[in-house]
Amino acid sequence: MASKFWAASSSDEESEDVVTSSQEDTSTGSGSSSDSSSGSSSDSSRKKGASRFLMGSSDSESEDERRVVRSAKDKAQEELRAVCNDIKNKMHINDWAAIQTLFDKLNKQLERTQKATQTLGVPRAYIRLLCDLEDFLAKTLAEKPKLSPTNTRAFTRMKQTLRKHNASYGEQIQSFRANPIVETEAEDSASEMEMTVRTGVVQRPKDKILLMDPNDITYEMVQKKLQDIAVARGKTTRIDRQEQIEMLTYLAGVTRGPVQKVEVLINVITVTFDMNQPTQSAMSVPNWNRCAQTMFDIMVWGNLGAFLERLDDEWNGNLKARHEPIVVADILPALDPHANEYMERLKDEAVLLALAQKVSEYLMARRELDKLAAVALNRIQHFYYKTDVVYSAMRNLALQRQKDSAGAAPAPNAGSDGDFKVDGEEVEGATGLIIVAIPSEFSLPESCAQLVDQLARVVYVHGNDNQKGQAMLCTVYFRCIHDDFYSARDTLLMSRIQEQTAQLDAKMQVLYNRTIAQLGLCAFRTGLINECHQALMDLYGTGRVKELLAQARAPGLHPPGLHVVTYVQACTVRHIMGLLLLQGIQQHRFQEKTPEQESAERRRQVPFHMHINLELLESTYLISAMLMEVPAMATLHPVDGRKRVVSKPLRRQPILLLEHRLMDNYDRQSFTGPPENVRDHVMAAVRALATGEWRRSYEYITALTCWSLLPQVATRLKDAVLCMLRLKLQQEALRTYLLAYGRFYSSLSITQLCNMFELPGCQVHAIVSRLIVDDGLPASHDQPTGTVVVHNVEPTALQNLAGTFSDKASLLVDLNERALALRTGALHTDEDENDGRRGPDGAQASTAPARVADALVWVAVWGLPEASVVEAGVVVAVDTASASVATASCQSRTLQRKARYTISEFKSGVFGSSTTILT
Amino acid sequence: MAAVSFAAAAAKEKHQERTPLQRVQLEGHVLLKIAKHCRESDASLRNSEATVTGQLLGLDVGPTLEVTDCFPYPGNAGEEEHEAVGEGESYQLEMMRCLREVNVDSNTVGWYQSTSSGSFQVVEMIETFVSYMESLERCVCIVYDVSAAEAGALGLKAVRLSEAFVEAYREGSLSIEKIRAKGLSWRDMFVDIPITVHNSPMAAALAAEIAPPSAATTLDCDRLNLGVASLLEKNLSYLNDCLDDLMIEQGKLSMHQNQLRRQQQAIAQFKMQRRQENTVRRAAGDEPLTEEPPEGMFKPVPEPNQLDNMLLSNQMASYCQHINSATQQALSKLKLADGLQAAI
Repeated sequence: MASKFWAASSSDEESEDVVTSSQEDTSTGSGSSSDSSSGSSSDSSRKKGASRFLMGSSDSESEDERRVVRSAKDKAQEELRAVCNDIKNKMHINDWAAIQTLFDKLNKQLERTQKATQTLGVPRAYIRLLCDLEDFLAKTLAEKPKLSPTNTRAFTRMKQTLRKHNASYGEQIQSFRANPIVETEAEDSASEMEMTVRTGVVQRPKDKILLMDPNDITYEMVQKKLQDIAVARGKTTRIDRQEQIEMLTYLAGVTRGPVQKVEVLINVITVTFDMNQPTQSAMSVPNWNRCAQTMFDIMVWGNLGAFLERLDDEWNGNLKARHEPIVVADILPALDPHANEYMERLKDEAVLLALAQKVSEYLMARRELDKLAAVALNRIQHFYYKTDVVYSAMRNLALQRQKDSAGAAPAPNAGSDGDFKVDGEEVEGATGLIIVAIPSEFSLPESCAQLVDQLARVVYVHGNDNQKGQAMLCTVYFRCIHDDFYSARDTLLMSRIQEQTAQLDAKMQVLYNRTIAQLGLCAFRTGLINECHQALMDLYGTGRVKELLAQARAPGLHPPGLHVVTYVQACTVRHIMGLLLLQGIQQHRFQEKTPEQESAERRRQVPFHMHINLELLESTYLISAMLMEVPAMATLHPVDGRKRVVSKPLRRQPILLLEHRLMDNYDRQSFTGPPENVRDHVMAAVRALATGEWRRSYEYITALTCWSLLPQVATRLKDAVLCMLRLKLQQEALRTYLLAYGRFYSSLSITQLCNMFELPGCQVHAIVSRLIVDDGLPASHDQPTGTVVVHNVEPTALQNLAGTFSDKASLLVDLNERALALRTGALHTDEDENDGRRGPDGAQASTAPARVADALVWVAVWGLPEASVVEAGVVVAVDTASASVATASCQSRTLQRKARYTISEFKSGVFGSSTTILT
Repeated sequence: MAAVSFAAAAAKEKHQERTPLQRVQLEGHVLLKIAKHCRESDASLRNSEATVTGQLLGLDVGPTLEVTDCFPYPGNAGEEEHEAVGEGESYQLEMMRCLREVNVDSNTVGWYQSTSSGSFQVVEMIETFVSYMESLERCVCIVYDVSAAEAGALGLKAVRLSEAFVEAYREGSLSIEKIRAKGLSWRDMFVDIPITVHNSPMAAALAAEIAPPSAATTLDCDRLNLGVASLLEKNLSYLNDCLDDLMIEQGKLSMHQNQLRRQQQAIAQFKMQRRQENTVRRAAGDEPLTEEPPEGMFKPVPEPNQLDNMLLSNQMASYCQHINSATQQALSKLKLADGLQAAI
C-alpha cells in the first residue's frame, strides 16, 4: 500500500484514492489485503489444528511486515521534511553556506527515502523546496544583498548546482508551479490520513479483541494473540511492552479455562520482567506490584486446580527462584533511603514473604526440594538482619495488612480487570493503584529465631554448598544481633568458611564481611574486647570498610576495583580464631573504573535498611583497640622518656599500627581543639587513659553519639554496654597507671588504688598480681599493711647496652634468615647442608640465653661461612655477631655475679676484712 | 753486631722470597718510644680519638723482622690535610736522611699506629698496607692499644695482610664469588705475627738493677679490683655500632639480591617472548631470532663490595676478644675472692 501511495505521488487523484482505500482497509478490517485474514479466520472453523494456526501466524507476520515498512518510510519522510524546513529557515536569514550544506544533506536524504519506499518518485515537499529555492535564488540575484565572503562563495556555487539539479526535475517542477495550491491541500490531507493510519496501527489489536463482547472471544483468538506476543518478545524494536502487558491482563480476564489463564499470566510475568534489564535499572513499583499479584493468582489457581500441567509448574518454580531476589534487591537501592517511598516499599516485604511462603508450601507439596532450599534461603535473607524490634514491627504490619485485605478480598481482582480495559494513558495511572492482598493463610511466627532456625535447617538439608554457606553466615549474623557471641563464633569457626574466602563469590564475601563486622559488634557488647578487636582489625586494616561491607557507592575517582582477598590469621592465646577474610576490594587508585565494574559494584550494594552503622562500628573498633593498646603503650614508651628494658612477654608487637599512626599525628598537633568526630573522641580518651584518668576518658567515650544507635533501642542495653565500658576503662586505667608510674613509688596502698579507680579491692589485687607475674611491675604484695611494695632497680648502662645489643643481634639474624630464605626458597632448608661442622662459637652458644641460642645454633649448624649457601660475607657477619652475642650474654652473667659480689660482699665488708686479714 | 746486621741485610734478598715472616723482634726502646708517643697524643687527643702513626725502621733477617728504631710522624690531626701530606712526606725523607747520618738503621720495615679498643681494621689501613707492599714486600704494622694499656695490659700487636687477601684485593672489587673461589674468610684477612721484645744486655742489666721487689710477694689489693665495667661498656657500644653498620651492609646485599632476581625475571620474560615470537616466525617461514638478549639490554647489577663486611667482622671479632679476655680476668678474680672468703 505504502509503495503504491508513494509511487503515485506525482498524480494527486491516484494517491488520494490509494490512501483512502488503505485507511478503509485498516479500520474496517476488510478490503483487498485483509481478505486473506478475514477469510482465514472464517475458514479456521472448518480447518483443523496446526494448519489453522499456521495460517493465522503467517497472516500476522505479513501484517507486521507492512507495519514496519510504513514506519521506515514515515521516518524518512519526516526527516526529509525537517531538512526542508531547515533550509527554509536559512533562506530567511540569507545564510547560503548553511543552505548549501543542508541541500547536500537533503539530497542524501532523498536517496534514502527512495530506498526506504522502494520507488523512484520524488516527494512533493522536495519539489516544492526546489521551486522555493529557485525563486529565492532569482530574488537574491535581483536584489544583490550584502553577503559575507563565505556566503557569496556559497551562493555562486549554489546557483550552479541548483541549475544543474533542477534540470532533472524540470517536469515535476513545472507541474507543481502550474498547480501549487491544490497540491498543498492534497498533501495536507495526505499527511492527515497518514496520521490516522498511524494511530490506527496502535489501536488495531484493540479493535479486534478489546471491542468484542468478552463472551464472543474464543479460545483460539486468545491463543493467537498470545502467540503474537510471544513472537514479538525477542524483538527489541518498537514494541510497547506496557501495551502488551495490558493486552495480556485483559486476555487473562477473558480466557477460556484455567489452563489458558495460567498461561497468559505467566506471559504477563515474563513480559514484565522483560521490561527492564536488571543490570541497568530496577523495575518500577506498579509493575512489581502487578508481578506479585499475578504470582499470587497463579498460586491460587495452581493450588486449586489439577489443571496445571507439569511443565508449567516447573516453569513457575524457576521463575520465582530466579526472579524474586532481583525484584527485591534491585528495587530498593534505586530509591532514596530517607524518602517516604522507601518506607512504603519496605512495607511490601510482607507481600514478598507471603508469596515466598506460599511458593515454598507449594514446592514442599510437590517435593521439589532443591528449589525449596533456594526459596528458604531467600526467606532467610529477609530475616537474618532483623532485630527483634524490627521483626515484631514488620509482623504487626503484615498482620494488619492481612486483616485489611481479608476485608476487601474480592476487590483487587475485579478492580484490576476493570482497570485494564481502559486505554494506555489511563492504565499508567491505574496500575499504581494495584494493592496486593496478603492471603489470609500467611502467618509469621512470634519468634524470629525459630523461623530462621527452621529455614536454615531446610537449606542445610536440601541446599547446595553455596546455599548452605550463605544460610550459615546468615545464621551467624542473626545470632550476633541477638548477642549470642559464643554460639555465633563457634558456628562460624566450625564451618571453616574462613579458609576459603578466596573462592567465594562477591556476594558471599560481602555477606561474610558483614557477618564478621557484626561478630565484632556482638563481642564488644558482650564485653569481649580482645575478640572484638580481632574481628574488626582486618576490616579496618584495609581502610576501606565501606567497600568491604558494600555500603558505599564509591565516588568515581577512588574506585574499588577488583576484589583481592586479604588473608590474615588472627590467633588469640585462648583459642585460635582463624577468622578472616576478606573480600578486600583492592583499590587501584586514580584509575577510572569501567562502567561494567561500576554497575557490578552497584549491584553488590547492600540496601540501606540492611546497613551496619559505620559510626558505631568505628567507635567500637577504636575503643577496643584503645583498651588493648594503651597499657601496651605505657610499657613501651615510659613517661620519663628513657627506654626501658622490658621483659619478653610484655614486649609484644604494637597491636594497632593504625592507632599508633593516629597517635603520632595527634601528638604532632600544636593545638588540639575539642573532639568532633569519633576518631577525635577516642584519641582524647586515649590521652586521658594514658595518664590513668579514666573518668575523663569515660566522659569522652560517653559523649559519642553513636551509643544511641546500638541495635536494640532499649536503654537497658545501652546502659549495660556503657557499664561494661566503664569497668574496662577502670581496669585498663589501673594497669596503665601502674605500668607508667608504678616505678616511681616505693609502695602503693591498695585502698588508695581502690579509691582512685573505684574498683573493689579484690579486683585491684588481681590486676596488680597479674602485672607482677607478667614482669610489668617489679613489686610484691605486703599483706599485713595492705600495700604493694615496689622494688625498682634501674638497669645499669651496661645492662641497657647488652639489651640493645641482643636486640640488634637477633634482628640481624632474622634478616639473615630471610635473606637465606630468599635464596633457597624456604626458611628451614634441607638437612644435607648440615654437615655437622660446628663453628668455633658452638661452645659459647650453649651458654647463651634461649633466644640468642636459637640464632647461634642456627649459625653453628650452618657451619663455616665459606661452606654455606648464603653470601659468605653475611654469614661471616652473623657468625661474628652471634659470637659476640654469646660473649655479651656470657658477660652479662658475669655482670650479675659481679653485681652480687659488689653489693653483698664488698659492702658488707667481708671482702674488705678478708683482705685486711691477709695483710 | 752491626756487621752481622749488614750481612743479614745482604742475605735478605735471597731469603725474602722463600721464608715467610714468622716473628717480629722489637727492641725495648722502640716499644717505649711507641708507648710514649701513643699515650701522649692519646692524652691530648682523647676526644677526637684520632690515631697517631710513626715509622718503623729495622732489618729483615730471615724469618725475623727486627725493628730496631722508630720515629713518630707529626700529628696529622691537621687543618689542611693536603699540605700535611706533603709535609709529612718531606718530613719522613728528611728524618730518614738524618738517621742515616747518625748511623741508625734507616731501612723502613713498616709503621706503627695507636688504636683505641682495637678498631684498627679499617679501609685506610688496608690501603696503606697495599701501598706499602708495593715497594716493600715484608712490612708489618704494629698496633698499640691505648685503652688496653690503661687497663694494665700491654696491647701490642704486629699485623700484616695475608698474601691471598692482598692478591684478591689488587684484582679489584671483592665480590662474593671471588671470595668463595679463593676460599677467603674474614679470618684470613689479617695475620698476627708474634712479637718478641729484645733488649740489649746493658738494658737488661739496668732493668734488673732498678726493678722493684717481685710483685708476687707484695700485697696489692688494688689488683683484685674488677674495673671491667667501663671497658665492657665501651666495647659493647662499639659492637652496637658495628651491628648497625652490618645491618646496612645486609640491606645493600638484599637489595642487590632483589635487583638480581628482578633482572633474572626480566630476562626470562624476554626469552619467553622471543620463543613465542620465534614459533610465529617459524610458522611464517622466517629465520628465528636468537634467544639471548642483545648486549647491553640487561646491564649486570653491580655487586656490593664485601670489603666493609669483612672488616666489620674483624672489628667485631677483636671487640669480642677484648670482652672475653676482660671477663676472663674478672672471673678469675672473683674465683680468687671466693677462695679467699672460703679460706677465712
